Amino acid sequence: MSSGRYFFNLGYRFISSFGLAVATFVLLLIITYLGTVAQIEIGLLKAQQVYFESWFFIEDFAYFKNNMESLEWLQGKAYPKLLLPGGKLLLVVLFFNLLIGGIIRLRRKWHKPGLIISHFSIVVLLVGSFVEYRKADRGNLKLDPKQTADYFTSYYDWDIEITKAGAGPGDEALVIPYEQINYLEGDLSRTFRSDKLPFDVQVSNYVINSQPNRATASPGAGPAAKGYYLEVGEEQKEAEMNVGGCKVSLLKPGTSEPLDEGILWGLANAPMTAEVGGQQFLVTMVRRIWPLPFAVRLDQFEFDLHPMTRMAREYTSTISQIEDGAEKTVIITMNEPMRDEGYVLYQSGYGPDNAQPGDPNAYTVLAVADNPADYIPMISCIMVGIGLLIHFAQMMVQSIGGRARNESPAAAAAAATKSAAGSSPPMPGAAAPSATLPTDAPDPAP
Amino acid sequence: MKMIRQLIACTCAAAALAISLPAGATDFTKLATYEPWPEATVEAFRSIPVQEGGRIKPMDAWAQFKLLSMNAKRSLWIEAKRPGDDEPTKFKIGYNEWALDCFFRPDIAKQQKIFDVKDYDALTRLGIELLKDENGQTLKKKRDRYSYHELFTTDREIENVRLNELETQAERIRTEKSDQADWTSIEHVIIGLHEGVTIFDHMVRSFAFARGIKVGPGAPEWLAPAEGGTVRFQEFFGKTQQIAAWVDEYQQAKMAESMEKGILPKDIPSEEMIPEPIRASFDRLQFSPMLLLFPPTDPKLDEWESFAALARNVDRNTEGGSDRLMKYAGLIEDIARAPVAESAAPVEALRDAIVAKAEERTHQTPPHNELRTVNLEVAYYKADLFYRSINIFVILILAWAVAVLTRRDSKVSKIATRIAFWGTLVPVAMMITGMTMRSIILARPPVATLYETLIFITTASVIVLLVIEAFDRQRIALGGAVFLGCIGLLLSGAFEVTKSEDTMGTLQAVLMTNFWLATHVPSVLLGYAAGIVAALISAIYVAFKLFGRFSGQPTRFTRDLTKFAYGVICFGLLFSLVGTVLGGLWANDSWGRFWGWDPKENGALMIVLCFLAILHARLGGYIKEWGLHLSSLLTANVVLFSWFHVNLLGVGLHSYGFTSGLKVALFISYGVFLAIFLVGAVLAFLDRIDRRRAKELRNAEKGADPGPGGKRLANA
Repeated sequence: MSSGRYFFNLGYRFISSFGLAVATFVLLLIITYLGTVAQIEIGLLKAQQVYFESWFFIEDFAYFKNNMESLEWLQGKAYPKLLLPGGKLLLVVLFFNLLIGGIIRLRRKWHKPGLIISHFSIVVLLVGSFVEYRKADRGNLKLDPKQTADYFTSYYDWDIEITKAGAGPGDEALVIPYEQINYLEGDLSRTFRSDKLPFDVQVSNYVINSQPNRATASPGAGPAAKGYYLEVGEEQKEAEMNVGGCKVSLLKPGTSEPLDEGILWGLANAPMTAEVGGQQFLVTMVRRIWPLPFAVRLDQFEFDLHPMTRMAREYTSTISQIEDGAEKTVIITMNEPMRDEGYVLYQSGYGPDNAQPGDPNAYTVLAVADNPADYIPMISCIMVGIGLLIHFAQMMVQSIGGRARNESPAAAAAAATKSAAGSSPPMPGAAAPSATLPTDAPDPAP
Repeated sequence: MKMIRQLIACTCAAAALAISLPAGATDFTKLATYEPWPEATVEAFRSIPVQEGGRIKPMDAWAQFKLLSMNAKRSLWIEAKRPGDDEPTKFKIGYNEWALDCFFRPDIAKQQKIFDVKDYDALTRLGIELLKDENGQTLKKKRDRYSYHELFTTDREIENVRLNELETQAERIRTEKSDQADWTSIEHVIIGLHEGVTIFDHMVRSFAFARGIKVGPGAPEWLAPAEGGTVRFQEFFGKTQQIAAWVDEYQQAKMAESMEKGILPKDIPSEEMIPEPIRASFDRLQFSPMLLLFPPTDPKLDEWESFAALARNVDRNTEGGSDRLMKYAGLIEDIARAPVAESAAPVEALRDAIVAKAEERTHQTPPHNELRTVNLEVAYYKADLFYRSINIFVILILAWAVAVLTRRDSKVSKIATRIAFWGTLVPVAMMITGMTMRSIILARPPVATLYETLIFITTASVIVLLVIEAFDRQRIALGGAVFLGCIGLLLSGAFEVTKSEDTMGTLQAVLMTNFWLATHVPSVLLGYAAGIVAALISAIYVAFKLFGRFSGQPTRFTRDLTKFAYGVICFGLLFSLVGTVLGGLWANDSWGRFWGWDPKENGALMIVLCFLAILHARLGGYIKEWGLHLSSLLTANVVLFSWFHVNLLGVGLHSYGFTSGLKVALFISYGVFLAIFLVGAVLAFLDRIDRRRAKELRNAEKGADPGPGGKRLANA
């Protein structure tokens, strides 16, 4: 055998091995536990990024540190730091392990169709999850009574949008996406250039959770410009509560000569305006917006509380879906979303906080998802259920069949002979162990 | 082998006997006399509909959780002379009788020891002096029950000082420490006492007016009390305008008199602005808004009204408000004024009036079918199927112990086995009936709260073990079934006491979907049940291996246990995997994503991963008998984490499942499974050494090098 083939076989056997599967399950179990308890300290979104969307991460046991500090003997003790594989790596390994070990290698065992089906369904689920992770967009849409909208906004992503003054709907806007500015903390800056703009845009001092204040004698710790500064707030565990902000400088193209500068803040009432080359531009920081292929109008929003409580019993939005001039009425309520053209609109919340049932000013909040893999989990669920049922039913039939054979007179006689030969006394009615189950029992005497 | 079984059976029988022995009642309320409420009164009272927590329930449910929250028990013991008794006797009264006392005989209710104070240091901190004997030793235990009078005395001034102190301290704790996890044990006691006293105060005030409004001497003739210094509420309320005019006149005169003395009106003490004869009447006119007893007249409304709301609505000139107020006030007064022995008829009259009004609402637009399950709920609590199942399980444990302790082929053993096996179907049927009743009452699958999951998992586990027993007939699974059934129900009862809240509470909108509640939740719970049953089998395996070291290894039997554990894990994987994916589908329909790494979702995933790791490790030959059992014991801790612990973390979307007060019990459970795991790990290590020695011995006996072929054989 050539060494190439030898190593290929070795790799093939390793990637498809039970050992790798078990190790992956155990490591996934550990990081799932760590990622769960870490949410108390760092919130869901960050835990998700650190533990489940990473290739590797360093565990510092912050949760345990904070919970054990009341124990005197642990106070001041250094906790170890561990490098662990992240969820992304483990799921990729699991995917190949399942594909090669659970389907390709197992294909010869057609007498075990249940196993192949269930493995295949998990592969499908992992593929679906990957598609969702890479391609799905999620956000929400707040609709006041009678308001119409054909877009939805992100929960977390704050983009910078640049438009010409006086631009209307449908006019072009230049966008600097969140992913390209969210790491520009402190003095770190990045300059963006477009042929369509008579200036370059330099972004710096990005603050994850910020609050603008008028600069006084002591301007605070954040970036400052034009008499305002951004106060650096504590990063919220609930990431959607963070309001981004940064400093922007408009530069003469290809140079570092400033033309204008300002502070951008996610919830600012008005955009930053700048006049360059005799034309006025608006620069704003907004939650990312995705277009919907149709418009929706809130016709009616109803919500109800359990009597004499503040617990919601039901909330329902009656909306008109408007597309190409045609309207149709759709009802969206809890657990019953609207699905159309690959988009799903869910009943998510309502406001304002003090709204009472019957309030004509109550608005609805719809969660919106554009997820190409929306149906894959359901297909996978049905398949995995069928697969496991077939497999375990097969096992049960085999086990009962084996038991019947073992309890036949001939088997009983054989057992009695064996018992008389000095092994432990037989238990009345006890079944012989299945030949397929390895045991820790001492090897029989030769 | 026999010795092991006998040892385990004796232990179980002793535990069963310990459970069945009635706990000694030490908290007797000693009264000179006590006239019990007639049975007919209690029957009528318990079925009065009342609104609480967003639903209509019988007074039976309302009263029991009120008493439970203060007393940690549903009944209390009294030592008193009843009518016809020559000597004081000890007897028990239930929560309905207690509630009747609070409403209509508050002087007696204030003497009943119902406040369960878990640490008397909390009372010291509140400035409440404990009763001491002549040697200066306190007469109370560290945890004891107190009556209202013991805590706050009968002296009005001391009562006010102590109540204010309790109020101040409770307020301070809540303000300074918004997170309950930061409260000390004493602070928990203070908050618990404050909540209990508040509820008690509301109950006592609810119908205080019915005992008559106190009017002192010096009142105008038209308000003069007819009997006992009190005026009937209806009469008093009917003269509201006259009273208002009289009070106004009095206040004008008072102010003029003060001005003459150079005192500004704002400096006059507020109580002096009320005429002396009716100053005391305010005690009985402080209506409580807690008891929502009266159906609204407006068909658009769902909110029932308290007596306080009825009185308030009269002030607002609501149409017909005065008639309703007077009608209900009259009915309640009739109860208060009737002799206890004749109280059934007025209580029935009040119930019938409320029921009639509620039934009238079923014909209105929109219709309100609010009494649909009130009577069924009364029947549910009267039947008390889960508690009674515990008693049956205790008997079955004893039957099982007899079966195991006697010779297997003896008649006694066979009969006892049959009793234990077939008898277990009785509590199983009772538990299923109980869950079905809950399901009808709540109009949803009975799996939406932690309490319900305890019942469901216990029932499922017992059924799984009975099925194993039907195949196996070793009586071990049967022992597990009866023991687990008993423990599971005891735990659910303890959980109910700890929470002291209505276990049939209303659900958030996201949970109000019967399809997902009936598919996802039972599937996941069956996965939990499988994890617990597998761990129980593994614990039995460890016990047999432990005792087997002294009395010979029952190899075949322990191999059977391994097969069962393996089968249960397969069963668990099927349900937990399908249940977890179904949960994702539900989340996809309600929150807009299939998987969000929410703690509860992660918990379910961890159980699936445990099962997968065990089964694949087993198939790959990485673990054998010991490996399977040890990992099954660790899986039990993962199940506990997923079932309970994630609810204590305080994060995530499954916020309807948060609970507190379980931490200690949870950590004890972790410890128990971990201890069994450690014992198992030591035994596994010793087994390994034994096997190696046995192999060496065999090789030595052969007296020859087995050679390469022999070595392969030996390692096979």
